Amino acid sequence: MDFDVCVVGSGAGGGPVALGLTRAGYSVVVLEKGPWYTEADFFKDELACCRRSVYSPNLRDEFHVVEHKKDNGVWVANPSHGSGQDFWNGVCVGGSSNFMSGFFHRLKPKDFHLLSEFGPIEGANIVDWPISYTDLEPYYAQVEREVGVSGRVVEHPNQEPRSTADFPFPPTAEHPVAQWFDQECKQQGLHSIPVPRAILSRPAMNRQGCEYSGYCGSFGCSTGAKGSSRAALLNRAVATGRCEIRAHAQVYRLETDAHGRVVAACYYDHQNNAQSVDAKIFVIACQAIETSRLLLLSPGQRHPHGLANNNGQVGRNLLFSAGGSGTGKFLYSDLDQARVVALKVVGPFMNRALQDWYFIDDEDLGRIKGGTIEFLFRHPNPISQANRQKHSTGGLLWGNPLKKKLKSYFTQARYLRFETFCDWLPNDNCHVSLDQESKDRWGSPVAHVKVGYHEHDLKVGRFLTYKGRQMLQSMGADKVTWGLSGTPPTNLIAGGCRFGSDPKHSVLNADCRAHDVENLYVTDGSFMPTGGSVPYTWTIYANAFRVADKLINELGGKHAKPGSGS
Amino acid sequence: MKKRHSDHEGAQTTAAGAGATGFLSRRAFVLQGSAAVAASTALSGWPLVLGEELSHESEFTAFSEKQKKILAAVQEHLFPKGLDSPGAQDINALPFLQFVIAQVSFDTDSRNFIVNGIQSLEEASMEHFDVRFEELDFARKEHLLRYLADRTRWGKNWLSLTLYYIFEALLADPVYGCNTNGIGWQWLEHQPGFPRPPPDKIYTRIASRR
Repeated sequence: MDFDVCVVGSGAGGGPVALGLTRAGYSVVVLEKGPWYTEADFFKDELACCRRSVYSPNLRDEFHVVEHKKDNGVWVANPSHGSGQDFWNGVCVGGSSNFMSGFFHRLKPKDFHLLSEFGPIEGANIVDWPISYTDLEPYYAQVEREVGVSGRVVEHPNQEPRSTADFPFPPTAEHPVAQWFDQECKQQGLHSIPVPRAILSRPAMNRQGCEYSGYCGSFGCSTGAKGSSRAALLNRAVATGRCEIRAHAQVYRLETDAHGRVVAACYYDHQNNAQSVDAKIFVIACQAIETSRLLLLSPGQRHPHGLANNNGQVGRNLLFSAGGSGTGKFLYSDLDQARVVALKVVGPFMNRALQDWYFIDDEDLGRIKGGTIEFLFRHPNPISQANRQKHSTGGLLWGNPLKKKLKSYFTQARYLRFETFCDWLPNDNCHVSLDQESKDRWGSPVAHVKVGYHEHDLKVGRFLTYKGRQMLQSMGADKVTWGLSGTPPTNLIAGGCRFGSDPKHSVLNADCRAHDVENLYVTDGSFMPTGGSVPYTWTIYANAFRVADKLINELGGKHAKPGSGS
Repeated sequence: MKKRHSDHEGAQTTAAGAGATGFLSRRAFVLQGSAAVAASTALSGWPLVLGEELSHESEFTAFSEKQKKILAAVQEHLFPKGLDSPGAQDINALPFLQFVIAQVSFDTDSRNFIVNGIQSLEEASMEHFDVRFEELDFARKEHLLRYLADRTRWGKNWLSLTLYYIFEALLADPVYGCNTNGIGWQWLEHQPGFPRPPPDKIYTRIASRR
């Protein structure tokens, strides 16, 4: 046996398992399809991060086929290399956690039993989780310590129960405009929430604190302050001497024996040579779409329709995050000098959110699940902002009119945004399957992603978006533009291998082990049967630490004699 | 498609075909770089080019002199120099575009579209005015470009793409040979992030490790 545990994928679902197991004395190999970048490779370069997307595969080689419903009701499928619909979010050691903004929110206790709390919604596959908030709370707290979450607890109606009084790291530096927000909330009787960030506000754990460059989301962190799986967890796992990370390892199949146990992960190395590794336990964490795809690519004698798919559940109930967004334009000419100076500050974070409508009790809507409204400055990348100025009602703009518009846009105002997060209801039109025609550069079928949404999502999103617009207007925005659609955000993905107690309607059991494969676990966001109304990363980290503890127990407990591969 | 908490406009850009991926053809770099530096002072942003090693092949090596004249005229018309603002030549828009599309994994369709569009523009100019585009006066250039943008699909897309790469030349890091001494950032009072990319960590180098 090569290793005690083989982890496929090195992002937020893989890092906690690798650290937990190696720290307990077990040997772990992590197979990551992308390269191994470090802080020395991350710079504030808009071309690299965002215009060329060099931290993700070339879409010509590796893509998805995305099927969506047009306004006329017809479903159409297009390869992502033609449409630009890029579901990769960073393919490298540490995965997309390298490039997250680190807006960290816990789920609420009621998120764990939405069906019991709010009842069924026709056309939505809502179920209760097989675990409760109480089961996950210790691991949320562990993430605060181990990944490094900076923040401060304030009392508000939807503050979730905590086992510790406050965050282990003080809040990151806050932008002066956050005070405007606080004052406005106070006047309106709302509860301003300082947003916890997975960013170190001071040096710790051999990582530097944040340098407040003003460029965070979509960029790799050059100080290590951002709590990526790589910086916060995998580096420490490697330091135990029991973790081996194999970059450029594209896993294309999981081999099973006659009993249905996984016996090997087969992968192509950087030279495209076929390799394999065996282990006692296999943990899959490739991000939701690719995890389902890998299982479907791995049929065996006991699993003719794909690994862990004897009940046809793999790939079903894929989740995104529903909601809308808006942007408020704050014209300098409308403000006094002190406010203009405050607005122009670059570097510190806005870090504010509202959860007053996380649960809605409204005369028209009734009692329904609501969500979170985040407030943040428009992303500072200038090229994308400039490019949006070339359009006018009269067609393309160029010459002096264009230059005048650019000058005004960049120098006469600043833009504060809001984004609403509400549940993406699981439904039969949102799932992953293997495309029947398209293949990746290694000859494997690519994932076919159907992205249907439930109309209820728009209803909730419209409510929250209205509240967000009201807030920006009351803060003094000259103009608020907003949008709402059922188009999924491509960087908030979960579901596809939901956990549950009934094998007929779930892929994994409560421990995130496949119902019908005794040594196969899934620890990325795939396990989530419902997504909650916050970004997923904190919950993925916490659950992966929880599963790591289950694995340690299964292997014989902490400080056990290392396995044969150690 | 949208992304949350991120530079989500990027998805829109890519969807429009303007953000096609690609990394540099090193052979093309060497060939173009040697010729380009000798040919024009406007190509002062090429030192990175000369530092690249020869390894990949690319069909596209460089714009012809004729293509350069047309493209430079278009870029300067779309983004003219002002009293207190840079023009296309000031930000090295032409050599930057050549740098971008010469990369071996730059989307082939986009590359062909950009190069073929130059020829199409020249043909349109000859058809309408029987004069080369770069020799038209301002009013006739404006008339022709507005006609193409408003009345032809290819013209609208080609001009939109040309504008997009002007914005890149204006606001990308000067390490790429554009945005000379940060002139675009200064004009728009933009504060870049830090640390900024050194020559050995430009996107072509990062992408080559994929």
